[in-house]
Amino acid sequence: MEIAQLITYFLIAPVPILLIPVLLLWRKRVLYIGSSLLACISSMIILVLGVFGILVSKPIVYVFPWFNIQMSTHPYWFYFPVILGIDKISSYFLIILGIVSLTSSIYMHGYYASLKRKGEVTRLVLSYPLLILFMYLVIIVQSLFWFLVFWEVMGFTTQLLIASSMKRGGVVSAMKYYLLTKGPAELMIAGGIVSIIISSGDASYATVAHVLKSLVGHNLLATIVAPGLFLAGLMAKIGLIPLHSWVPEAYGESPTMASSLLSGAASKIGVYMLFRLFMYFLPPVFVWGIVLSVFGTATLIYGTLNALRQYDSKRLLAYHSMGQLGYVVLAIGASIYLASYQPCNALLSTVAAAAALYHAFNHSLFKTLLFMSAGAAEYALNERSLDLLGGLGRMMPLTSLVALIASFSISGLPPFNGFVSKWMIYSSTMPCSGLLPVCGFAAMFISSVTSASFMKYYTSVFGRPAFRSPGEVREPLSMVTAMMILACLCVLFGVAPFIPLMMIGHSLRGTWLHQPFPQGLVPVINGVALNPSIIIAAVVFPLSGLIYDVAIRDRTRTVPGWFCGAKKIVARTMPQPRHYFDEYESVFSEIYVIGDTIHSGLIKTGHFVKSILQRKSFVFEAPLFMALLASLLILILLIIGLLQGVLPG
Amino acid sequence: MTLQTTLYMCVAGLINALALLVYAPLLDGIGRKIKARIQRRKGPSVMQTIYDLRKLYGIRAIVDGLAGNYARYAPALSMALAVMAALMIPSFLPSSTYCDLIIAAYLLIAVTVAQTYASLSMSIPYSVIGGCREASIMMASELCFAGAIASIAAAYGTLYVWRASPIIRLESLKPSMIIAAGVLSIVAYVESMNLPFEISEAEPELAGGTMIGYGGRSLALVMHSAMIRKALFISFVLDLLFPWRALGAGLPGIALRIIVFTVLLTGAYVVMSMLNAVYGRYTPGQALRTLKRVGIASIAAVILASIGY
Repeated sequence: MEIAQLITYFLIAPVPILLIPVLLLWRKRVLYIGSSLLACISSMIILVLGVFGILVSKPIVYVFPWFNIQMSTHPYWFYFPVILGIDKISSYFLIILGIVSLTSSIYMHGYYASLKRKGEVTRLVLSYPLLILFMYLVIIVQSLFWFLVFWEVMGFTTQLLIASSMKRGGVVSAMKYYLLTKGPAELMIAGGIVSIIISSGDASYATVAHVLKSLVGHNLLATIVAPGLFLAGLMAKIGLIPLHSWVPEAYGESPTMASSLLSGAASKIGVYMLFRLFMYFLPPVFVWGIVLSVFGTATLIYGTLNALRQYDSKRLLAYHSMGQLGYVVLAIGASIYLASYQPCNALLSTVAAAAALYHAFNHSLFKTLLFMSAGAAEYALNERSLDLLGGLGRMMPLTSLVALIASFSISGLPPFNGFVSKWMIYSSTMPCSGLLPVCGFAAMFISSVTSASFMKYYTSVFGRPAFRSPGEVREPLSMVTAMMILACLCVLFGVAPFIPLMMIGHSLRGTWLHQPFPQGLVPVINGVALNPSIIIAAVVFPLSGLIYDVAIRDRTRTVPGWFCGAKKIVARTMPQPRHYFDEYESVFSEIYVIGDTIHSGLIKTGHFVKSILQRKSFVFEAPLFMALLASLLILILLIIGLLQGVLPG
Repeated sequence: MTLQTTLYMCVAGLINALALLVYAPLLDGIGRKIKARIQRRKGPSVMQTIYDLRKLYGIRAIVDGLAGNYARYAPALSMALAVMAALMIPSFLPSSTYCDLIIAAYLLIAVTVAQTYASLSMSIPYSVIGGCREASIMMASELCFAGAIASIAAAYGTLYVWRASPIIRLESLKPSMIIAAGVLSIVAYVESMNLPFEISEAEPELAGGTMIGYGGRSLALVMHSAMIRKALFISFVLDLLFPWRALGAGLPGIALRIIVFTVLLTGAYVVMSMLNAVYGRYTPGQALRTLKRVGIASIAAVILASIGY
């Protein structure tokens, strides 16, 4: 590949992003407009690259002739050239990254005005583009070694972004993020990568995928140790239980743009690697199918049931983020389980894999949108507690509309996008035997809990009347524009599922799936091709509009409500959102027991973090501690490798 | 699928929807009459619900002035969703091969969800309390409903109503399906807003409930869509429990099936109304505890079905 092509394909996207910090030299107005504009340009390029990668027939790969780390004279052992490439699966995730970062960057322009703390804008302007850049690099790199390098830096920039407000909560949650994901989790990822490189003899994705498939089943390191370590590290990054404790605090305490970028895009980077590991590198292994299905189901139950108890808008969304990623992991696990245990269900296995990718995309759309709506509410009232919010539906009708669309989408109501992907997950898990029907049942039950939780969220923030008058507040145009783009995509991906499914069909080509995915169609299950959402949309939208137009609009009489004898509505006469589901939580307290046990563990972790933060020597201790752990781990792996006869000599 | 089949499905769906628009209020009237007679009251005429709806449709829409914008739109949305459910879910005629157990469940739930969003958006405390209770009952009954659906899907390897129906087959009797049939019957009873589970209207001293913020045409739309949903829920469960779709062939067969379905649906309403008349209202805690027990039974059904029983 020519240098010109290299620049065109891989290096043009980061250029505008890297220019953003230079804007700090200019006035605020230039900085606000310029940073948003440059981030938008980069995001657009990433998006175009993703679409291009899906459309071209062959992967685009570039091996750098320089920057090779050659640590030994051995022909392949420690030879790690930088390989950049866009294949189908990375293209799919580039599209997700492009859309989320584009909308977040548009939103950023309006959001700057709400940043009041000294230096907050500077920290945000420095860390936000870096996070986008390293997410981009993590996706396009085609070598495990360089993946690890970029992954580490991405984690560091994430930490900076979480702490950018420099509020106490933000700093503590950033520290928690460090302790969980930058500490043990990345050590485990490093261990997993080292084991894979030991097993396959190379770091490039192509070789790893080729060699690992032949080793699995014969080699303990390649079958259990390497995927196990890698999975444990990715679990922390995605926020699966029991390594989730950073999620609610990091998403809750970060600036809104950071929360939306973390939940919408950064968590998907973990899903991307999980998908690549289990669907590209490894053949279907029954054990991993069970492990992923169980952890996915446990996370969706834990995350969503805990979200029901939250009354802080962003923490509620953060717990739901965990829950929805549980659906994605369950679908990946189901696909592996079906392919390895019930090969007769090859089509269902394909549907489950497609559902995982579909739901990951959908989650990016509606969760980014929901965080943005929560940010708009915070912008208007400077408040996050659901008990104190309200009345924004009248003040911000467009934000209210898009929040409603996102709430319906995440609840899986037809014909929005969440419905199609959840329907595919149920369709691939329920009509089976063994473990999966139980997982599918849990997923469907939890979907109703999601509905109830978003009833609380939407009606508390936008639906119910205001208890205090915040004056005339309008969200900036850039915020509304970003949210409208995402809302339109939520509707589009619901009523026209063939668009994402076409991309997914391409993305599944390199996997081990036996049954090709019917591109452009909703999957054919048991001989029947279905696309119900478009039919539902074609009836429900026009019909409800018609009924509203004929029967309600312009003919509605509004009457004052009854406020328990008070002359005007006051907060004390209304049930508080935090108590909406008290009775339910008390009756179903048993299913909260596990969650509460983990929660008490979290509190202990919090105290632990606090005690560490109070010790200044921690700054010096942490790297030493990690280096020691890394050395130990590598030593253990080398011993395992030697015992297995993998190492030469 | 041929053009002829598609046309048939569209026509059958329309007939079902139109029939339910009229028959659902009539069934409500029958239920009210039976309940009154059991309680030794004369009660209203069986046509009373239709008269009520006609009157309400004639009055302009009334809505709580402080409620959010969504509350104004919700009656139209819930009616559209109820009509959509009537088009898709087989009732008098087997309308749609598009409809599987999941789609049917989601369409039925969507009507409740649309209404509950509205009741939580009102400025009236009783509406909000009613909405919270409605949502709590929805979550608890969904535990049972999801269990029943998952066990049926696992037992017969399909999510399609017409393939799984009837779920109890004498030639291959499965314990999981007996439990699932019981669970489905209870869920249909609960979701049909019958006592003792009709807790959204709160305690006797708290008159009101989820529809308190509406009046006139808006109230008519909300009530009407709830009635259609109730009839659909029962017909959906009847479809899974009884093999009436196999009766007859050709045009006489269709007529026979419509008659049998009408008798079954009316019979189910009669039984439910009788139970409704003799029970008192549960407290929210009692209702949820009862549903939790049913939910445990549904989990047992899923486990049994997934291991082949």
